[in-house]
Amino acid sequence: MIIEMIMAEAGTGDNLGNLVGGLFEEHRSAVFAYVYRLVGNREWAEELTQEAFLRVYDARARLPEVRNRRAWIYRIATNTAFNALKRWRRFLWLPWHEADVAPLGRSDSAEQVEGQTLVEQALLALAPKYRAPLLLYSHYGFSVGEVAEALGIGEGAVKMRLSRAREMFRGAYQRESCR
Amino acid sequence: MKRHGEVVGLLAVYRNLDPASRALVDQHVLECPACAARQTAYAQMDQALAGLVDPRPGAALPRSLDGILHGRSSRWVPARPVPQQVRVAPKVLVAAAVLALIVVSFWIVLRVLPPTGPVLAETPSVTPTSTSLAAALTPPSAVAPDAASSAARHLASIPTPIATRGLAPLVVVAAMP
Repeated sequence: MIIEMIMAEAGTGDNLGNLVGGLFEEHRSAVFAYVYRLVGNREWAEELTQEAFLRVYDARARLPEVRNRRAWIYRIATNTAFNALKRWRRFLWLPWHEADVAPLGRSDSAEQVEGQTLVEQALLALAPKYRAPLLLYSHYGFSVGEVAEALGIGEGAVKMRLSRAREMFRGAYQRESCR
Repeated sequence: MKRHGEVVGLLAVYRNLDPASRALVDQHVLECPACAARQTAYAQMDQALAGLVDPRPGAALPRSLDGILHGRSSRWVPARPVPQQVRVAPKVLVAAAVLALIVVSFWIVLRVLPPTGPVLAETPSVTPTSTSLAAALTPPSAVAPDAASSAARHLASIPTPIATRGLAPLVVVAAMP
């Protein structure tokens, strides 16, 4: 009964539900990867991605007012991940599982794999507060304004965090390279 | 020097700079080797981060939103009425207990001590006695006028210790759970 109700709601009778369905299919993998890089655990990231999209679905009535849907989704995902990190503080002792490192394509050489691992390790060395803007700006290609929207902070704060994050990343990368 | 600090901040978001800011940065970088090195490092950083291969979600993450909604509905538990708990501060509870104790002990003392209060002679007792109750239940026609007045005089003459008046509400309060 409840399933039918939800499905009916998400079905043809609910255009916003369909819209969220489309957004989920479009951003599912990228949001998962983003959340995964924030929390550092695959299973947890899958759960949090689902939770984030459920929140998007629950707030779908606001979708028509949202100017930048991608930034809005990432804001919900960021909040979901940050809240989870705050709740459990797991980021303090979470190991970075070798098995969790993204599977690379067939043509990737050992050097590329090593380079990617170094970058991932350097990213992980950053606090989530700095990791998130750097990922959004440099990996996902967000503008400063979009990063601000996704993190719920001002553009000035984004510039400051990005500047610090870049310096931290440089230091962490150099340390990882020396190991 | 002021320009150097400003440019360091701008280098972090070089891609998003307006033409004027970009020209300022480009001009400064030509003169400042440290900023030139930083610009190169940031460009390489962007390239490395952009080239990261994203991990793919596993089977635990449904491929469609319907799958997530199904998952939520299967975890759905019918809402049970939550028993409303009245939260009372411990201080209030202690105060209530002390008050109840005082009332009960006061009542016990009054029961044990013999009545020594002044006698009320003028006002008849408010508490209905068996006599007055019988008089009240008896139809007016059945009671002779002189009998009624003698009953009233009798009631007035009954001594009522002042200490026992008005204790009934206290006893009721003390007996409450």
